[in-house]
Amino acid sequence: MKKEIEEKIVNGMREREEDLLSGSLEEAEKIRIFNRTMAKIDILKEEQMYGNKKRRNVVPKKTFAAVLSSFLVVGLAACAVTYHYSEGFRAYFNQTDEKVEVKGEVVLSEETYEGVTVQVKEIIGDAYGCYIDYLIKNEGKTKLSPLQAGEVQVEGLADSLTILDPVLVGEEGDTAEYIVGIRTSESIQNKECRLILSNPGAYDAADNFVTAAAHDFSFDLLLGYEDSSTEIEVGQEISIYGGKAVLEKISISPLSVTVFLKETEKFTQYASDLKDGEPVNDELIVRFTDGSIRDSYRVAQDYDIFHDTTVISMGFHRIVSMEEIENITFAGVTIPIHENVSKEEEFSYQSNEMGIIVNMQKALFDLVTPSEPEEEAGEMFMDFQGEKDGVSMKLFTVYRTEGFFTAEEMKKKEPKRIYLEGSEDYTYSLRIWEPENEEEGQAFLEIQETYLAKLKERIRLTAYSKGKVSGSARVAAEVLKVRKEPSFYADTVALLPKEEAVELLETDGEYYKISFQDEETGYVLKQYLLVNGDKAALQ
Amino acid sequence: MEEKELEDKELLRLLMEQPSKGIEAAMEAYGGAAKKICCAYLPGCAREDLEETISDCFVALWQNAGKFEKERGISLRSYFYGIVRRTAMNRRRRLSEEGKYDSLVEEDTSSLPGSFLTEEVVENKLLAEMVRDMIGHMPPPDDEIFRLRYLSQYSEKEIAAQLKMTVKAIERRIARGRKKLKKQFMESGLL
Repeated sequence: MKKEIEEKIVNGMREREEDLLSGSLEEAEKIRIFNRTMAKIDILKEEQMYGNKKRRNVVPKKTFAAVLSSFLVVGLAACAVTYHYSEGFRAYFNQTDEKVEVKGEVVLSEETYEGVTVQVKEIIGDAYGCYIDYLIKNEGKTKLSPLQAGEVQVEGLADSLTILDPVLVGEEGDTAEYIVGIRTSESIQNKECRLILSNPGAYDAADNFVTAAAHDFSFDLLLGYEDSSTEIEVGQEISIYGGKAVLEKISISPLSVTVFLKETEKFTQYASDLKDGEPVNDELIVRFTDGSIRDSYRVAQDYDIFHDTTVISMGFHRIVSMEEIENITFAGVTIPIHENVSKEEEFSYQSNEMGIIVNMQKALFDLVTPSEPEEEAGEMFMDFQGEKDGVSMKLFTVYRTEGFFTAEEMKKKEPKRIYLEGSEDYTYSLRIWEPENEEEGQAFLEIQETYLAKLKERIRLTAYSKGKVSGSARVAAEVLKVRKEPSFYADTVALLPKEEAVELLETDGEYYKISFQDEETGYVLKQYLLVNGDKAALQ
Repeated sequence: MEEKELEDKELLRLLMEQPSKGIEAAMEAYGGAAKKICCAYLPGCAREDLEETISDCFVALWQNAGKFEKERGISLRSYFYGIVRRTAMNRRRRLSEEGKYDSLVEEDTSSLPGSFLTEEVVENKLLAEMVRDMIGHMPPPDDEIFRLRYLSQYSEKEIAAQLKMTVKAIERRIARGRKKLKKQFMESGLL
C-alpha cells in the first residue's frame, strides 16, 4: 500500500504542469445542467429543513455558549518538581512520584458548539515550549466517543514551531482528555497566542474521520512564566553544519533543555555542500542519573524538539530536577551536570534480529531470561520471563511491528502497549505484563515498581541491522543512483534505469548493497527497489 | 495561492448562502473540467445520462460545501475533481448494471468531441493535479520535504541534513503528509 501511494506521488509530481482540464460548457448545456442541479438541490433543501426540525425537537438547544474575547493569563511551571499539576500531566510525563501533589480541577476556559464542549484546563511550560491540557466532551449527541480534534493550530507564537500530536491521557464516559505540546525556538514569555482546536470528531468503524462539530474552538492565552531554568555557560568551539560555531550556553528547565550557538564560520546551506564524511553534528543527548537517555536523533513517541540553526530546544517528556541529569552532550561536547552520583551498574541484552538493546539494572538483569525472537502476524516479538522466589512470570515483551505507526495509531491497535518508536520500516512497542495472581504479585511487585515502570527509556533500538541477504529486485524509480558507500555523501558509481534487474547482496540501514550489470556492486536506497516476491511487487 | 484560497472561500460562501448563484459560479469555473472527466469515464453514453451525472457532481459539491475544510490541505478545485471522478464511476457502474451501458460502446469514440480525453489521461491529470495541489498546500518545510523526497529522490537522511532537521522529523512529516494524500486518493477512488 505504501509503495502504491509513493508511486502515485512520484507519478503525480512528474506529470507536466498544464491544465488539460480547462474548458467550459456550451451555453445550452449549461442551462440544462444548471436546471437539473437546482431541482435536486431544492428537493434536498426541503428534506434537510424537515430533518432539522425533527432533530430540534429531540435535542434541546444548549444555551451556555461561552464566547471568549479577553486574554487569560496563564502561569507556567515555575519549579515543576514541586509544582502542582493535573492528573493529565501526571500521565503524560509518566510521573509516578507520590510526592507530587495533584491539583484540583481547574478550567481556564471553555467553549461549546453543537453539543461538543472543549475545555482548556491547564498549561505548564517554560521559555521555549508549553504543554496544554484540554478536554473534549461530547454531550451524547452522537455515539462517537472519545472525540479528538481534527486539527490543532497555534497562532501568534513564532513563525515556525513544532506542535506535537495530542496525546490522549484520560477518558471517561463521553469525555476525553488530551495534552498537546508546543515547542519553539523563540521565548514564549508574555506572548499572546491562540489555540485553535478544529472540527472535533472520531474515526468510525470504517476508519473514516467523522466530524461531530464543524467548528473552530479557539482560546486566547497569554503565556507567562517565572524563570526557573539553570543556565550553564559553555563557550566551546564546535564543528557543525559544515561550519563552525561557539556552543555558548545550555539552559535547563524542569521540562526541557535548550542549546544556544553562535555561528562563527558559515554553516553550509545544503548537505551536498558538506565535505565527504563530514557529519551534520547536531545531536543533542541528555543522560539521566537513572541510566535513561534522551537523544534528539531518537526522540521516540513525541518528537518534542525544535531546531533553529542557532537554537535547539528539546523537551524531556518528563519533569526533572537538575539532580537527575548526569550530563548533556551536544555536537560531541559533553557538559557534566551531576556526574559524581554513584551509578548503578548496567547490563544489557541485545538482539540483532530484532534490532534492540535492553539495558537493565543488575537486580532486574539477574532474574530475567529473554526468549528467542518469534514471529507472528507481521510482528516480531521477544518475551522476557522473570523468575524470583520460585515464581515464574512473563514480565515484559518487546514487539517490532512491520510498517510505520504513530503513537496514536498504535494505541488504537494495541491499547495496552507502550509506544517506543516508529520508523519507515518498523514500529517498536513494549508491553509490561501485570501479575495474574497473588503469588506473582508478591514476588514481582517491587520489581514492577522499581524497574519496569521506567523500562521504556532503557530500550535502545539499534534500528537498522546490517547483514547478508539474497534475492533479486528491480528498479522502481525513474533513475536510481548507485552509490559507492551506504551513505548519501558517497560518490555515485552508476545510474540505473527503471525496471533494471539487480541482485541483492547485503542490507545496510536504508541501503541495499546490490550487484548489477556484469558484477558491478554498489549501494542503493531500499525504497527505490521492488524486491521480487515482495507484496508490493505482486500487486 | 492566496488569491485562489479567497476564490474558494467566496465560492463556498455563495454555495451555502445563495445556492443558485454558487452553482452558477461553480459551473463557470469547473463545468468544462467536469464534462471532460465524465466523458472520459462514460465514453459514448447518452447526453441525458452525461448531463445527469454532471449535475450530480454539482449537487455533491453543494452538499459538501459546509464540510469542505480548509485543513483538508487541498484546493476546492482538486476536491471537486475527486467528487466528479467518483460520481462518474458510480454512474458507470449503475448504468452497466442496468444494462443501459455496454462497455463495447467505449470502442466507438468517433462520435465524441475533439477535446475528448481517454480515461488514462484523465486519471493521470487528476493524480497530478491532486498531488501538486496537496503538496502546494503543505506548510513549509513539508512541501520542500516532499519535493526533495519524491521529485529529487533524496533520502530522509539527505533531506534532514539539507534542512537541518532530524531524520525522525523528516520521517514523521513524510508519514503525515502521505497519510493525508492517501486519504485524498482513497476518497477520489484513485487508490
